Order: sequence, then C-alpha cells, then structure tokens
Amino acid sequence: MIPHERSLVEQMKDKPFALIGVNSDKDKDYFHSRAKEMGVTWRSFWNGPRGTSGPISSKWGVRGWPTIYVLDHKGVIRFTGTRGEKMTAAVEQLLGEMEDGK
Amino acid sequence: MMRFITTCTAALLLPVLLGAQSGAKQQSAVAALQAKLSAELKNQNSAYRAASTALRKSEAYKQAVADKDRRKMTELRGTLTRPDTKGLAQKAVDAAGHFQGDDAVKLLSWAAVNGRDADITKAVAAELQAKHMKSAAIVALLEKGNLLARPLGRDGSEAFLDKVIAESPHDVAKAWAYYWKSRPLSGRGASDDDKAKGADLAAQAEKLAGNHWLGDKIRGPKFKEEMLQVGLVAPNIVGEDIDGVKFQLEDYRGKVVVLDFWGFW
Repeated sequence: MIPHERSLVEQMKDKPFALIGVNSDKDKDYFHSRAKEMGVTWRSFWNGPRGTSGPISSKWGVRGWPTIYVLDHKGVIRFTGTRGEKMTAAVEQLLGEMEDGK
Repeated sequence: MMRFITTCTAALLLPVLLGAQSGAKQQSAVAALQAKLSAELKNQNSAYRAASTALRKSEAYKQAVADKDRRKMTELRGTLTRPDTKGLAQKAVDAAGHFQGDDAVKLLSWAAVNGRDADITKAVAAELQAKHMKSAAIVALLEKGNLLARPLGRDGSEAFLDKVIAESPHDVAKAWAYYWKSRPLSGRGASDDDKAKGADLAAQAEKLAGNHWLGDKIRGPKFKEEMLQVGLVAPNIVGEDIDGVKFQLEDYRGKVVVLDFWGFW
C-alpha cells in the first residue's frame, strides 16, 4: 500500500489534497527508520503507545488495517475502504467536483 | 559445590540488586527491571528485523524468490535468530518470585504479554488466580485478555475472567473481564441468543469502564455506525503528529483528504 500512497501524494502535490494518516506504530524509533526507508512524507496522527488499541482507532471503531476514509473538501465522508486505483479515482472525482464548484 | 556457591551468591546479591529493603525502593526496582526487559526485547526485535531485511536483499534469497522455491525460502529464514521472547518472559517470572503483591503481578503480566508462550501464560494465569486476584496491576494482563484464550482454552479463559469478576475490587479489571467474555459471543456467526448475551456483557463492561479507554473501544462500533457513514461530515480528530506537533483533521477543510489508518508494525 505504501508505494501507491507515496505516488498518489506525489501525483497530487500541486492539488488541494492531503493524505493524513493515523499511524499505529507503538515505537516511534521504528516508525522513523521505516518512514525514511519507504519515503513516507505525509503527516500522521500518532495513535499512541498502545498501537492499534490507541485512542483514535478505538473511538473510530477501527477493526481492520488499513482502514480508509475519503473526505471531500467540505469534510464529508464520500468513500470508505477505497484502495489502490480506486483511491486515486475517488480523489480525482472529488477534486473535479471541487473545480466545478459543487 | 559450585551450585551451592552460585545459589548462595544469588541469594545474597538479589535483594541488593533489586533494592528489596523498602517498599518505595522495591517499586522502582520493578519499574527498572521491566524497562530493562522491554529494552532487551526491543533490541532483539530490531536485530531480527535488520537481519531479516538483509536476508531479503541477499543473492541466495532473491534466487529462491525468483525460483518460487518456498522450501529454500523457509530454510533461509530459519537461519535467522528470532527474539527469545520465552527466555525474557522466564526471566520476568523468575524475578517475580522475589517480589510481593502488585510488584510481582507487574512482572508476571509482562511475562504473559510479551512471552507469547503458552506454558508461561498458563503458569502466570495459575499464579495470578492463586494469589493476586485483588491486585489492580492485573489490568496490564487483562488489556491483552485475548492472549489468554489459546493457552488456557475457552473454559480456562472463562474461569479466569469469572474469577476476576467475582473477586476483583477494581472496576476497570472487572470491565475488561466482562469485555473479553462478550467477545466470543459477538462474532458474525453468533446466534441471536449469544449476541444478546454478548451485548449484555459489553454493556456491563462499558458501565464499569467509566472514563477508561476501554469505554471508547466498546462504543467504537456504534460510533462507526452512527458517525462514519458516507454522506456525513467526518468527526474531527484532535491529536499530535509523530513529532509531537498538535493538529486536527479540520485544519484540512478545503482540501480533499484521504484519511488512512495504517502502520508499519
């Protein structure tokens, strides 16, 4: 998943788009070493030292990883669970709607 | 003779090493021991990951992948030194023998949670049931109550949780016990009867959890159902990024956002 997300972020870098993570690594040192290795540039909330049992994912009822929500520019949830090409298509659709002034 | 000397030395040294003279000192000794064990586990995990990465980059492994030779891949992975979680857990169990009450429970819980070993978990559960059901420190193990089911079996695990409910004076400990009792009854394949029982147990757990994060975990599915549907404005998230800088989801209004719950693990 990470290579795809990295290329999505790269592709949309001049667009009104952001990929925001909720990262569930317990160990920040491990996160930093892998993030460097994998070229992860996007910002993530840290889900805290309990990892996948952290406060954000507990509240949001996250059971499967990764869990994905795509929000439009008004903050409305428009798609859930979209990965890979579908994620890119969803983002393109919402950027298009934004340009059309919807 | 050698053995006798070793035993004597250990008996003389241990109280000094562990600072067993006073209650306050003993508590910090347990914290230090736990930190030491956790650091050792972390080191072994990092070494394993590094060796694993190096192996995947080696010619022999790449060749095996190209050949789709699963036997060879397994054989090569077998040469890696895995973290000795059982050994570290055994150290924690041994050390626990030198402490009383909550201090002993902390070390025993550490062993069960990090050892990932059926024999250790069984031994820890037996010791806790025999001596420590009233300790608040069993919460550290109960948070990972899902780890009990396999080593103890369904009945053994139920018996452990029932004993916590019957004997613990701590609401959070009881809340966790109710929660783990509810889980097997709440799965997709559960009968309507079981689901109703599961919902009752989860409601008990939520009530006892109070402000503890278990409450959020229990309310999670309902929150998702009510707040996280397509067409609804996403609830705000206020938190910190990985570098400790505060920010919130609403900072990104005006942009299309992919919100991705992820991790490297």
